[in-house]
Amino acid sequence: MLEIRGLTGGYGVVPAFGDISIKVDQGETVALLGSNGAGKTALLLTTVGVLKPVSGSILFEGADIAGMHTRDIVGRGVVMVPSSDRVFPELTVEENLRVGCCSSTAKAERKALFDRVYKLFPRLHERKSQVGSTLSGGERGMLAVGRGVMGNPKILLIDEPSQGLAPIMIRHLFAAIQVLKEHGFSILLAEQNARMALDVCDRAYVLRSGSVVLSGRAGDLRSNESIRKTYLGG
Amino acid sequence: MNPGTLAQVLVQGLAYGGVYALLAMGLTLMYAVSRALNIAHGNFLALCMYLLLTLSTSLRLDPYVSVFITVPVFFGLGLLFYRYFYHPLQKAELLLSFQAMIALVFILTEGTYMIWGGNAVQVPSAVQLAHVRVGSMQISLPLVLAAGAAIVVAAVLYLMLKRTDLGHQIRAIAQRPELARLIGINVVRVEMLVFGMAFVLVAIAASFVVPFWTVTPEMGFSFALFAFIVLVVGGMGNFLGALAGGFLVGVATAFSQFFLGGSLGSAIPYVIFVLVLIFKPKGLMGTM
Repeated sequence: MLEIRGLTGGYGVVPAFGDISIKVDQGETVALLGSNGAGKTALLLTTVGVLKPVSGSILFEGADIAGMHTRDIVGRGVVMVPSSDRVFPELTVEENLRVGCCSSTAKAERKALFDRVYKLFPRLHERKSQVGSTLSGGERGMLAVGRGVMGNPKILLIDEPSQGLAPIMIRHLFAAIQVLKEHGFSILLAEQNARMALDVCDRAYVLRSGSVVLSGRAGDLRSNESIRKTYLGG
Repeated sequence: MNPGTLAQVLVQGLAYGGVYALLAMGLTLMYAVSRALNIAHGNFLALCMYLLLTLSTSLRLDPYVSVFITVPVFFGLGLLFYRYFYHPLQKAELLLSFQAMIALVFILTEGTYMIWGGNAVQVPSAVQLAHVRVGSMQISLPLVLAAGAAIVVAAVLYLMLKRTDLGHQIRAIAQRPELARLIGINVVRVEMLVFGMAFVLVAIAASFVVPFWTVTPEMGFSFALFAFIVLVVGGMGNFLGALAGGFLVGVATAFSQFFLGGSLGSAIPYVIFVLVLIFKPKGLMGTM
């Protein structure tokens, strides 16, 4: 479904990542592992059109979306959930969700999408009239993922869901990601917390300094010696 | 002095304040969504007032009727202004866009001089001498209509911002522009519509102010100046603040001109401006 080929790009003159090739098939959950600065966020931002790539292609359902406007890419079903600044502080939970539903295809199914999100995150339903700035970190994370679902996505790009969250909230959020996976969503997940990511994904790529250094099925990577040492604490 | 006079001064303040508010609400929306400071906004008001003059002399249309023509025309003008003037400048250096704005002020001012001449003119209206009776007092109707127009427009805008998809998108962009872009909101389209709306407010303001205010080409810039003061006083990006700020500045100016006389009275808005900057720099009401 999503195939990134030889993609090079970043924030400015020096590329954050070079010649990356990655794919996500329909219904798969794929993780991008790696520490800070490895290029994971830049890669996701380039896929969704916020950053323009220097070279390479991004094939989504057969069409090359590299360099397209974000609004068109989101319209095609590629939705990103950011790692920070996740919610609109002065909009209520319900307004935050509604605003995620901006393409015409998503609007038609708005009621069904709201039901789906509130079922996934009952706490958001409880807080639906509260403004974003009054939510806890974990609730904002849920809201950001819920807003992503409101976009009626074909693939969700989730950036560092564990960022800034307490362990119990991280478990909650990953449990929700697991539910999304069971519902058939395709997910590309960038995550520093390798343990949690490998528990939920089918396959993973490990990035270091902008290149893919290792890839494979989750089970294989979990038992891989160097992975255990570097990311899983031995 | 009698209550009738004071009431007249109050309503006059609310009327002028209403016009400032209409301009400031448009400026607030443009600022909130595009971080735009449209210095030429007042010149567009003057331009519209001259258009009303032409519609009046050639088609004998009352300004309150012409508004139905000027509103759609100015909506289109706002869209074009965004598309061909403001949007291309967004990527340019700040100094460059500022210079372009100032150039536009000159072009519009001189342009209106060239087409309509420099004489102060009034646009006649059927209701310009009409009065509303409140108790034992007679209040000029055009003043009441101007103040009322500002309130009605503010209410409509408020509902739009709270209840419609476009309103939510405007607020989202005002709060977190990059996040709005990330989730797929068509920011350019929203910005363009906001400019259209701000220009509609200008057209409405023009029709409601000409019955009691004579028009000259340089008025444009001084209107803009007042509108910017209101913008800061109300809180940049807070459009209810623009409404309240407009009335505050209008009423304060009216009363100080009445009690203190012309030049000292005209200084009052600037005094308020400086006071707000010193004591409440975020404006009386903060952000949207």
